Amino acid sequence: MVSATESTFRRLGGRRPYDAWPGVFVSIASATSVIILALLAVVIWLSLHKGAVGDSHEPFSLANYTEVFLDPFTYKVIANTFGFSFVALIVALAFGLPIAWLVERTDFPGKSAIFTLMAVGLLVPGFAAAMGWLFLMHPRIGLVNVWLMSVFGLGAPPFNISSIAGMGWVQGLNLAPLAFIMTAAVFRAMDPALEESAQMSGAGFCRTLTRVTLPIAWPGILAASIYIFTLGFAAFDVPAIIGWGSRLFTFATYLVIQLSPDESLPRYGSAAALSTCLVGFAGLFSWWYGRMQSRAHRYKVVTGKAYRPVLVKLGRRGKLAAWTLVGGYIFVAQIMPVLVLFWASVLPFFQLPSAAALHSISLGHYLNLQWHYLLTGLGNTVLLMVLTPTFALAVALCFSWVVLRSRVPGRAWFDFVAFLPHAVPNIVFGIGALLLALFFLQNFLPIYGTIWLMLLVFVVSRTSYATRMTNSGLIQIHRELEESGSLSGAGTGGILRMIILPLLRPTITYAWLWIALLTARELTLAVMITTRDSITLPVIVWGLWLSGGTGDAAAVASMMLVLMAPFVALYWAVARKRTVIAAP
Amino acid sequence: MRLRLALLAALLAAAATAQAARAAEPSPALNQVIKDAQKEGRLDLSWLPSFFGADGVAELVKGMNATFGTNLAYSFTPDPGSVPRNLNKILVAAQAHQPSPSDVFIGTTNHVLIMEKRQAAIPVDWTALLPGRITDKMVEASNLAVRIYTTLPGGIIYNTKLAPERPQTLADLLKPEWKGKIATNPYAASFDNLASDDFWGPDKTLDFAQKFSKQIGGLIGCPDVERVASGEFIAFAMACSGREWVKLKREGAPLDMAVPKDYAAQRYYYLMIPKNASHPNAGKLFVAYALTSAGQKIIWNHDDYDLHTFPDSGMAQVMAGYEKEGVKFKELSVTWLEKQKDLRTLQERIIKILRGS
Repeated sequence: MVSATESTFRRLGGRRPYDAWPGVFVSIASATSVIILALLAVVIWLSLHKGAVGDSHEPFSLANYTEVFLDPFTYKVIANTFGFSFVALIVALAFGLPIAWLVERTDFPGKSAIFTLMAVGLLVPGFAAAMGWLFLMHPRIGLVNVWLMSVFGLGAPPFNISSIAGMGWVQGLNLAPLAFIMTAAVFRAMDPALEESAQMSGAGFCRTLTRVTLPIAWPGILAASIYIFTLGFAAFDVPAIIGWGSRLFTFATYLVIQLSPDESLPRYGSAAALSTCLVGFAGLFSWWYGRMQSRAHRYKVVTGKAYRPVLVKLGRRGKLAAWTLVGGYIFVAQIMPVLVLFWASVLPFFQLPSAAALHSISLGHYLNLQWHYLLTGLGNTVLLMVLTPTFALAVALCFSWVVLRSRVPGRAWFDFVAFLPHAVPNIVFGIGALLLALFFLQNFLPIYGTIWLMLLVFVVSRTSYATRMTNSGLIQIHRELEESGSLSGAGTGGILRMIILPLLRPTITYAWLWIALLTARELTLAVMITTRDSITLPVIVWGLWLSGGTGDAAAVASMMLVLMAPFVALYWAVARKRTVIAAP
Repeated sequence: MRLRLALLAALLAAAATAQAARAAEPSPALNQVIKDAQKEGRLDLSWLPSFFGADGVAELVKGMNATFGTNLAYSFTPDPGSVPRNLNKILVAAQAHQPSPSDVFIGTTNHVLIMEKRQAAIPVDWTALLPGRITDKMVEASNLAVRIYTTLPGGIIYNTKLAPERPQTLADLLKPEWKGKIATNPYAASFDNLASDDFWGPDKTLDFAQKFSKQIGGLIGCPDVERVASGEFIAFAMACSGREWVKLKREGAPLDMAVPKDYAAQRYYYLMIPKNASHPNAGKLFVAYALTSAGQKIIWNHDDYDLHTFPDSGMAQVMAGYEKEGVKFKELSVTWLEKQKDLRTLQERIIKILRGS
């Protein structure tokens, strides 16, 4: 089929040179899809296999499915997970969305600092936040509860962090930076002309916000919502500390029990069967997202006509309210966990603040750090942090182009496939990768045991997030810009380089950093495929924590923060200089 | 007379020196392993960091090289997760004809049985490596596994400031004053052995699990006893290895462990050489050194465990202390486990009870 632009171009007598880019995009998207589907095939194979991994003599059966789905506890776990994910989503959006709007659409000061704080907060391990909240809001020993009960003579603790809502609150605070980064790019790219028109027509601030701003940002908000909601299924550290501590299981913590019995071999089969229901949910979300995308033209706000981002002026009261929100969030979600982390790192064992605790403070955990491992882990982590987002975004751009700009038959399936890695819990994805690398790839691409296998799996697993970002960015760019480029004789490569990439720069900047940070804290995938040469810092932290060394783990995590925070700050400073983020 | 005594003393001293020299001299089997290990040139180890710790492994390798005159390079990859997942990696690598991620595997009785059943380890004449030090009793599973240290599973770790009393039996934990303040682990560790007919049997254990489940406040991982020290829970039962609390106590944590008189067990961790190990002789040499007096001391210093059957054992003293309280330990060896039936099925039932379903 010949596009309208193409026919116009031909009518004008243009002769186009051979354009290899579309073929490259389709090839990369196809190759990545094949890897994703192969990994999923391994998961399905595992789910149909009752024996231990590699037991080829075991017959295929549906035994894992019957075991999992006939157990009423599974449904309790799924209900818990939905509740937990829903609360986490609401909390993450409640903080992330307004802060993104404030930073991108208003004259709120200190933007670089906020970006840095939001991003650095992601490096704080979830266990530190979970422990901090536990010691504040635990029904029996929580400082706030104990204090309120003694001051007001209450018979029962007013707060209970050991609940689904409590866990969701902690996880939501932890995920708010994701909502922030995913929606900040959308607000940044918005044309304020629509808001100005609404206000000119007499609409007030709230009406403009609800009738114009939010609907325009809807693709980004929806993408962030779907992503955050499904993250709830994979979240482990908060449910493991708070949830297990009160016998509340979510999908990830239940999966770990299935996968890690104390004495027998891991039951990957039942875990894989459980995962298939996640693939079902992911399919549903993907369909919903696809429907929204099919109406994508409604959200095209970056056009060739008079695009000029203008910042909303906050009054004095507005700034005060904004500072209250941002400051409150940063204190409870960023500063408090970091303080807990540092506090844990200087204590011989975790204890509430007291004279005895202050007396026992020492730098023992820091002095005993195994620097040899830390430096190996740091080197690998930094390498993965740089390469994973770079490759993942390149692959994602290919997917987005195929889905949103090409006329390749069945292109909607590419988007569906790209979302699937997010649906399969990383731990199952990890065993899939391990098996694929050992039994298949090793024959012609011997990357098992190297950092490159980890890179490949990280890139594939981050494709879902990266495509959500590039999709929502590309949706907002009207085709007329590309058509103009095409009419001027530019090929796909030229259009990409001169039009798409510059306009996508905010999206790519946010996505790159976010993927880099996700890579820095990635654990479950890394644990499955880590070897001597590919160990990462989170694996070291996790290993120490699991071994009962909260202090050692906190010391390494603190070092990780100290080492990485300057890079994050530098990143935002450069981004600001290049006006990728809004100036204050 | 004096001259005779002096002569006798000199003879005795010479005999003792000769014996000591013979003892220090490596056995022919060990000599061969040293030569082969030296040819292999390196040692790759990977397991949970809770076993010896990275610095403990470094000390063991350094001691091994110094004692046996080798200069093996080594790597240690802390592999978080669990022993079964670590074991699974070794098995999957073997099936794919790839080298094992570790030249030595560390696991307990159940893991030894899995390795044996899957023919994933190589038999070694362990007693020939350190004659007199490694005895037949320490070697199990047809020479596949050798005991490295003794553990005391099933203990009750409690907060000495907050617990209402020092519990004497598991049944004590069913008293109302403990309700809602006890943690257990999510894997029902030790409940499987408790359900053996040699202890309580399945019916009594299941009945206890039902009642115990109502007393539990939550679940925590076995090494996570810091949460007992912090007061979030006042006790953790049943302990997986029984010494997880010692390091914290040394640092001032209000912790102690009671071995219940109605369930006192001693178990072992074992070392094995995976059949797909890249450096099997280096692995054997590491195991041999870990079983010397110096190796055991390093393990004791790092993990508070050693093999209680050695004369200079710290665990022997620990066990003697409990025995003075009237505790009688029963040995849970690989041979004992092989005779048990349906313990895994029972454990799965108990996991469901304890998780509150």
